[in-house]
Amino acid sequence: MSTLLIIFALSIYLIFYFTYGKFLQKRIVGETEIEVPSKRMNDGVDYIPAHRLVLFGHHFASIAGAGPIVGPVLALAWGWLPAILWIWIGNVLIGAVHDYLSLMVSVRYDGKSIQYVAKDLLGKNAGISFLWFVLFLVILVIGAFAAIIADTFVSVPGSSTAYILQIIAALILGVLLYRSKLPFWLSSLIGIILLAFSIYGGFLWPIHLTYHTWIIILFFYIIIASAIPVNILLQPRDYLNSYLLYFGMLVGIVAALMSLKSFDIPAFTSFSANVIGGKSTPYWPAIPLIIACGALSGFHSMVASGTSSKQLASEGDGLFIGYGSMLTEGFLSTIVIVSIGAFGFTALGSHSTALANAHLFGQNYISQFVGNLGGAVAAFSKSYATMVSSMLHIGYNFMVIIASMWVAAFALTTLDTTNRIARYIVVEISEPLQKESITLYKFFTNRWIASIIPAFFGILLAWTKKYTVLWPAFSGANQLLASIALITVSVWIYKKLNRKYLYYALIPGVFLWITVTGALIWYTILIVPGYVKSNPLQGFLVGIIMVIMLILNFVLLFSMRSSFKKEEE
Amino acid sequence: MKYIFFMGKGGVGKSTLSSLIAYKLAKRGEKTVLISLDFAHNLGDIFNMKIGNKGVRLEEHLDIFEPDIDRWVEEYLRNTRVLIKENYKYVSVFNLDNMLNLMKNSPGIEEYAILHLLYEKTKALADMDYLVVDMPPTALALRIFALPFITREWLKTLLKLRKEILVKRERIANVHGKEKFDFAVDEHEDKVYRNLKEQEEENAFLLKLIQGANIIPVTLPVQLSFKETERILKKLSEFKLNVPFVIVNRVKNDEWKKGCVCIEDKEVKTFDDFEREIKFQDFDNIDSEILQL
Amino acid sequence: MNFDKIRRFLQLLEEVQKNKATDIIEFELKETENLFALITLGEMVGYANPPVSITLSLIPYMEREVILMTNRAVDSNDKLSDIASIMEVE
Ligand SMILES: Nc1ncnc2c1ncn2[C@@H]1O[C@H](COP(=O)(O)OP(=O)(O)OP(=O)(O)O)[C@@H](O)[C@H]1O
Ligand SMILES: [Mg+2]
Repeated sequence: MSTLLIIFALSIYLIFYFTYGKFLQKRIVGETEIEVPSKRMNDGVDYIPAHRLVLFGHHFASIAGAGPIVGPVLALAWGWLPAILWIWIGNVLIGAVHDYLSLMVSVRYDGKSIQYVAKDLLGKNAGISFLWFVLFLVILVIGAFAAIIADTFVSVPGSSTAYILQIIAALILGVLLYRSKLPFWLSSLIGIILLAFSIYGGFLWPIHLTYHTWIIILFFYIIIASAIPVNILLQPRDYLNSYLLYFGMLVGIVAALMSLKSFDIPAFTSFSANVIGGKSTPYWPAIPLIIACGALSGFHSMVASGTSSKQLASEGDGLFIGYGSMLTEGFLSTIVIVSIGAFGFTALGSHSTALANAHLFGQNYISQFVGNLGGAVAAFSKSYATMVSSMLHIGYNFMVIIASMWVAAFALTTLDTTNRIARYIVVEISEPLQKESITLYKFFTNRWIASIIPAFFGILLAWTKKYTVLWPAFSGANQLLASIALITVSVWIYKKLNRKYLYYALIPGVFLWITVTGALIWYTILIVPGYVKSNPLQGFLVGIIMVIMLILNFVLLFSMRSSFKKEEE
Repeated sequence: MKYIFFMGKGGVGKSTLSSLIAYKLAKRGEKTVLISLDFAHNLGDIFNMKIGNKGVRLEEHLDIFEPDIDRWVEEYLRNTRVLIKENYKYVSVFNLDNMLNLMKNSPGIEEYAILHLLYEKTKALADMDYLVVDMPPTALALRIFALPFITREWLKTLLKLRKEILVKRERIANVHGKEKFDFAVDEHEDKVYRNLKEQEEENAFLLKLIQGANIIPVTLPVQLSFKETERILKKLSEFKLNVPFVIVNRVKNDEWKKGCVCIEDKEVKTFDDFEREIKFQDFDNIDSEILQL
Repeated sequence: MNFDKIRRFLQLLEEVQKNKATDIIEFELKETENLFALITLGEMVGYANPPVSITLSLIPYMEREVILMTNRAVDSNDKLSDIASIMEVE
């Protein structure tokens, strides 16, 4: 079953790439006489044509983070079938379409950002909504990820040591890469060896600290990380992480292909398993709040319209980069499903009665299964390690640390880089303040304030330890971003391409809009009050964010309507 | 070389006095250069001859120059445009033309032109004993004195930022190899850095020149002119520049003669009249002080 | 076998990794260069500006910075997507 699923996933992705993807490319996007921005506007600085493989590497590395791993782990509460279905269907019909079309719309718009295009096609409100969604996304992602990381460090103590040692490895690698005369491959090799040592160090000297101690450490870490030059720590560590990703994926695929094991966990538990905040959660519309990245992520529209669209060497490469890398990310999520589906129970060890049948499994999966394994990341890494160690005979403990570190390292990269993003948004959002009150404007746009505010709110949220509440909120913001992008490309198809094909983007867009809006309303009404009760401060914060997002979301819908209407006249 | 700058409100007698001093210094055998940095040159009128950019040698030891500032600015902008054309691969010069036109009229360019001309002349005439400068009217003169100080701060900031850029480029080039990028990596290659360094050198020279110079404000014995002189003194002392004394020109009343350096109001028409009428003795105290400088 | 093709492929992989090892620095470099341009050419964009003389004297050698500045001046929000392109935010 496990092997089958992998092969099946590969075939689906390949088939859709060559049929649906090519259809999107040929029919909807079509061809144009105008050259791509990288050539027409080649300026040797931002606009430079890049080889498709190089660009793919860049694009994929930017979109692959901890997201496609954590989401599927939680979604397994509904059973592996609903989870994998959303990963596959969501990916090929919505996510990859979203990524590909936002890349192409940006290419046709001289490489401008999706936010710019949204403003151009939908009006100013869309542009502003976009900014606010990103700001919320940043705060929530810090909250969710900090909680997940601290959880992982507690339940897999070796991963924290490994992580700290990796920092040292990165510091050394930084000197080798950027200052020494050693050839690139040699510095990299030394870096990889040091990375291996740090994992081994994690195996030898686990650090035991409490959850809240880690949260405090993370807070200071975020602030310090933003102050030191990137080439000292951030860049070399980010670079090392890429090897963790390659290694993790490669080993995962090989092991999963060899595993030939049946799934131990139920295919389907119930339509409303207990997922978010321990409450029974309806699969529809809540699923996009659980599995975002891996099926669909609005954040990718920003990546696509950032560097990728400015460096695309020919329009033909667009499908490979936009559609292709999203499929690869879906594949990563598939590996997660297979690891836990087939090896989760083995990793867990005991078959507790709380998980005895499908119904009970749906009810108790998060608390008994994920919880007993030590949280979302630990659940994945232990299952994954079980799979790899039994197939490839690599030490189990070693693999647990590698996998935990892989996910935690990516989550941490997110933490220390989001405050850079936050800084831009805070500056952007404060713009109108400049006229009203220059002192306030100066306050908010101060380098430190602008990066501490989101970090502070994020960490405040993480303090509650409730990542199953925070994760959906983060995903929600992410999905709303995606729905702006999808609506934008729909209007683009309608106005600038062929009206006939409008529905290929509009249907997923509207479907997503309805689903996410429904899910967020459900979340605000049923989940937020409980959160307020246990943690008033944080509960209110999340509640306010939700309400603002919902309002903006409706504003967006009206923008779209009037934009279609205008075209009609 | 010693530098003497005459400054003051329009019409107070800067040109007359600087000519006179230069002339008398030359007569004493000091190798002297007299240069007008005013747009409206009037040394030519005083000496009754055409002087111009190239200059005139009057007497054995006196050289006089009236550089054409406007023409220099024009030429400078033209050169900049040519340089841009030579150096730019992607951006067309026409895109920048608008901006260059704007800059022609933007404040600051004249001050720089004047300073740069001063720099060139001083460099070329390094073996002279005295350089006497007839400055333009107060406001512009003060801006000219201030410019090297402002420029120094900006250059400092820019050089620091540029170094940061070069360090980052070096890090990247260390991984990718220098060939991959068409940006310069080290300080000698980077034209921007080199240019900043050159500017810094020129500016340091000018700064030293100004800081070592004697600046002599000229005023008329009237309230309005005094008020202005007070402002001048205050500004100059902010920059810690040397002001050995102030000259009160065209004094009619004897009581003035007591406490200050002053020149009588003479019924004169030509420079020769002056030469005759205002003897070096009239400068008595000035004379001795200036020559001591 | 097709040795050249394999070599070319490995070269591309190396380039992918080299990019991975420098993308954040490159982003910061461009930011700093943009800042440099904004400061020196501030006159054009309406910021506090240094003496024109400095600007005029530097312009001929600042093509790269001029390009960066104009690319970013067209739409300041593009920066957001640019950073997104070098970081994993999920
Ligand atoms: N001591 C004096 N007695 C009589 N006339 C004088 C005296 N000093 C200057 N003048 C006359 O005053 C007029 C202005 O003098 P001058 O041109 O030297 O002033 P300036 O400060 O250089 O003026 P500008 O700012 O216009 O260049 C001239 O006609 C000059 O002959
Ligand atoms: Mg005069």
